[in-house]
Amino acid sequence: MAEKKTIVRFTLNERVQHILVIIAFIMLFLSGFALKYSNSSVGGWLIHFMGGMENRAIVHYTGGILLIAVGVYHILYMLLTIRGRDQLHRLFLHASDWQAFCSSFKYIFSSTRPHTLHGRFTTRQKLQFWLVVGGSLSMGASGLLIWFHNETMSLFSKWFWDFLFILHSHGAMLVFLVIVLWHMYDVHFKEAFPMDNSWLSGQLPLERLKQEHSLEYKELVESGQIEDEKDEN
Amino acid sequence: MKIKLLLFLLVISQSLLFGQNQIRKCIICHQKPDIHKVMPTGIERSVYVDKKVLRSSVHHNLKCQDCHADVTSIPHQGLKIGRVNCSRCHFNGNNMGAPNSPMYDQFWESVHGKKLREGAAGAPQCQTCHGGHNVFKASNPRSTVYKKNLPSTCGQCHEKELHDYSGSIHGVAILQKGILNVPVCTDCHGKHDVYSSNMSGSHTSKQNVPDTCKSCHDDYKLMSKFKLTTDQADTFTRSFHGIALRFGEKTVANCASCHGTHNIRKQDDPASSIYPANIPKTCGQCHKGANENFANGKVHLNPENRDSGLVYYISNFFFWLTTLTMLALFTHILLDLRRKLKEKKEEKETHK
Repeated sequence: MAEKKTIVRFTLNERVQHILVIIAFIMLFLSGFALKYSNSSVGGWLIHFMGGMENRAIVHYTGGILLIAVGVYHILYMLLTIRGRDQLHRLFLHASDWQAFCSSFKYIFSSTRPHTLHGRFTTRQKLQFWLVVGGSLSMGASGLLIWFHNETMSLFSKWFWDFLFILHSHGAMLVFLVIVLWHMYDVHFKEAFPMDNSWLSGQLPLERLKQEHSLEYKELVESGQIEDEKDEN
Repeated sequence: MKIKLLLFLLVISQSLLFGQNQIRKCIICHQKPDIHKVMPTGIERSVYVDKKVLRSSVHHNLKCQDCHADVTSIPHQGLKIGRVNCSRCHFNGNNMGAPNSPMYDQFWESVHGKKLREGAAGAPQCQTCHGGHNVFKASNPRSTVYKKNLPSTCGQCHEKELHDYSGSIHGVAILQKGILNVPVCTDCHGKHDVYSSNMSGSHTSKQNVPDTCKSCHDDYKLMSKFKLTTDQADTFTRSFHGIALRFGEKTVANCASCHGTHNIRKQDDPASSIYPANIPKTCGQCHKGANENFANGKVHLNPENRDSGLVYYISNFFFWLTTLTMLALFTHILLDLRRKLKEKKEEKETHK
């Protein structure tokens, strides 16, 4: 079999951003859930493993700074670079995404997939992106307010503080569910068990591009960037 | 043989007679209210014995000499008579009828026992707290260690603590209203096992204070008797302060950091450390820049309690949001996997 033809789906810059976010998330989840579930044996063990409550806080703060730094960089990247702006444009949700969402319910118990054609990002991927953006913003903002608790408590009343705590704690759980479970299942396990290598290599086989991102494939063929592959059968 | 028996009887009868004689004889002088001795320092000390009190005390079966062993003759001018040594009978494993318990050893390890071993002036001995001739069971209201009498017993030396305690919610309840459910000194500090609060084993050490307070404040039945809840204990345990304290943090707040120790007062008492106007100062011990906003809202707020208002609804909203998201996610994954498996099966069949 000939070497599989691939295209660059993610640039090195994007892959490094992704990896830094993963590192930040792991640090934040481990040190955060250790506190949230400090009553459980695993939570207690994690706190001891990190070297006590003070070190746990340092791990959490470091993860937070890393996530905020990558976030700020990402915003600049998306707004100031040509590629970034192009990607951002493709990430916006359109009416077709709503239709894709609705038709997915029609096929919910069916054994066939809805025949939705996707561009560079599938509806699910777009949703995941925006949920990460929303999650990071709310977690980052509430996290900073909790970090500088003396100032926060001096400026706002206690109920706002309770609200922050609930938001940060429950929000973390939602982010965890969406990112870790849904994203991992959707882009890694499902299409390319055990994982999609493109997050490391940046390469996506043309075969998969044609199947999963048919609109992007068509666009690339039309603009002459790739040659149309003929189906073997 | 006969001689031996005779000798034995002689010794026994001697001591028996001597004892009997002594108790009668002793009281002849010692029942005079103005009887006193002059200490080597020149201070006069009463040696009066209230016969009635002695006869009703737990030691009513004992003879004077059983305790005052160094009084070997009457009169005893010139004899060196020291304090009674209780440990002649009171040690763990005794068969003299004194209670057997590890408390005697605990005492010597306690802050009081240590001071005593060091020879510190004023260090308390058994008699200091339990009394001399007026030793009664702790359950007897005449006892110096009866719950209601304990504060003044400890207060003989710990004057400032007694003063603070007397004005506290606990002190007022027991000393003025006679409510026996409230803690006195020993309920928080221990009885014979009183340690300095900077010792890790102390009931009042930084880490142990919450458990000490919880021995009552986590008791739903007891708290409801005073129309209180156990929310304070629960919410503290789950709060950042409580968790950090459990994992050995030394600088984090425990109950006493905010509520005080001997001077615990109700929130609506202007002298209370948690009176709204005093909150900035109390929180400000640790939290720089604490202002009146710190007093704005309930501290021991349980988000799961309907009384918590807005926070209760926000908390519930997030609970359901998380639960439903989880449910939707797992359903989605399961249905998707089912389709995936079917697709594979069909693919296999078409390839055959």
